[in-house]
Amino acid sequence: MLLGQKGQETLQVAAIVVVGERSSFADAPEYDGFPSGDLDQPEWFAGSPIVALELLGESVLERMVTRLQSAGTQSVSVVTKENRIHIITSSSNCPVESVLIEQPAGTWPTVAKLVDDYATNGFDTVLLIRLGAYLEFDFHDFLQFHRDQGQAVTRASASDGPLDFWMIDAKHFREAGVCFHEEKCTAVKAGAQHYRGAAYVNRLLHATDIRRLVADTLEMRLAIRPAGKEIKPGLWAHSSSRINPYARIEGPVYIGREARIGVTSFISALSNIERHSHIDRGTSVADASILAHTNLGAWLDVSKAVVSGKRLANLRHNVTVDILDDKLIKNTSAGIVDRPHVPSSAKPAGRPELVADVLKPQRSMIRAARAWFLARRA
Amino acid sequence: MKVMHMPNKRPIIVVTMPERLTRVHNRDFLLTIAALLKADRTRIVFDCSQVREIDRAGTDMLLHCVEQVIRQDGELNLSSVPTKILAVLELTCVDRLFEIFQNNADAVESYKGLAA
Repeated sequence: MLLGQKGQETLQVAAIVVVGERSSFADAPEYDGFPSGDLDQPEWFAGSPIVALELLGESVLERMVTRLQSAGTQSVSVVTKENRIHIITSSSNCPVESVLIEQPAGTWPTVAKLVDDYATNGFDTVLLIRLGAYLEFDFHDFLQFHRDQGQAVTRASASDGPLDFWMIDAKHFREAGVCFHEEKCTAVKAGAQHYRGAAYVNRLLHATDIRRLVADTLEMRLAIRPAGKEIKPGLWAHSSSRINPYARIEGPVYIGREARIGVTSFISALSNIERHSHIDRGTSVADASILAHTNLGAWLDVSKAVVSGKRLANLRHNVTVDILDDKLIKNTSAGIVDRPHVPSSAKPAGRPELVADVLKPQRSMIRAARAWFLARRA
Repeated sequence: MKVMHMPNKRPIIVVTMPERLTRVHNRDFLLTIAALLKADRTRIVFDCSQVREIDRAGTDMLLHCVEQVIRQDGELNLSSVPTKILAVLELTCVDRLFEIFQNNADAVESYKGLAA
């Protein structure tokens, strides 16, 4: 069954996807705040919303729009403050329009106006998404659940709390009391129905969640696939990527468009090297995501990390750091990215944290490493 | 620089590292500790609690120091390394050549088990 049809009756369904708006989940009491030393607010990394970052060749936003189109949605509006976010996924039977948020009116009046326009143009139902999380669920099932409940609004929920996915009757939007912020959301207080059919939820709050999404995708646990071909078992690569024959690759891994893997470098453990990134000679990348336009210098060890431009999130120590030395990590993008505002209360304290307890010195290993080092220097 | 004397043992020298271990700041620091690095069988702790910035020249400087010290049969450990600096040491693989302790007391204590 296509989304938008029920028996003989055809439903007109539109989708509004809001990107870059603050998460209500991050305000909730069960959310325990920033990890120590995080330079980004939740759902952002290196100055961009995580959903707008290319992961395995496509952003979560692009994948969501494609899924909405293939499910039968008749129109999609992407609402954002960011004029850097471009949607190229469009088709003749489902136009995708990009709507910049009107200032100073803000997000909510822009969304309300869009819903009113859809209602005026004969759309029955609007799927309103504040895109922060990646989730997989059956849109038809969600729509059916919403219609069966007979209420103006239905919200998707996961086991750890509500999600900003709403199925709304377009004509009753204004009185439904839907809002992204819990304290103002009268629909929540009025007991809106919750749909709990999502098969997979990743809230994409921090760099750890980026790694989880990439690993789950490369291990084929999800419906999405890397954008590229599996040229060898476990090696997904774009046709324009260049891998040096003396580089070592241990799949599953992903190498993106125009990415270059240098001589004697080693890529392994569910890592992804995104578009226009360059891994220089001898550098090892394991269990790490190297996002678009990132240049890693020679003889580095990048493991359990997410790197974008100059920003490195070390997931082992739960710390984010901007590397200022171009010889180590360099942003190859021409554009300058503005950083989002980080509330002062969320910024890390002046004195950095010291070494984590888990680091216990292993003297024998250090002695062996020193002997090797001296032999090399001799 | 702080020298700690232990009974029947070689003294342990705790060196407070500067705030910046970068190309332009390394020279002054190296001049300060040049004699120390050349001394025979020295036991040194680099206290990194004040370090806020490090680049490739800084990590190379640490490699130079550890090379000099172990060639003279000495020991060099790091203590109180901020996590952001540790992330850079791991990135450049320099962390593999040092024992890293949470504080100076632990670093000094570690030398007690070694031969005098």
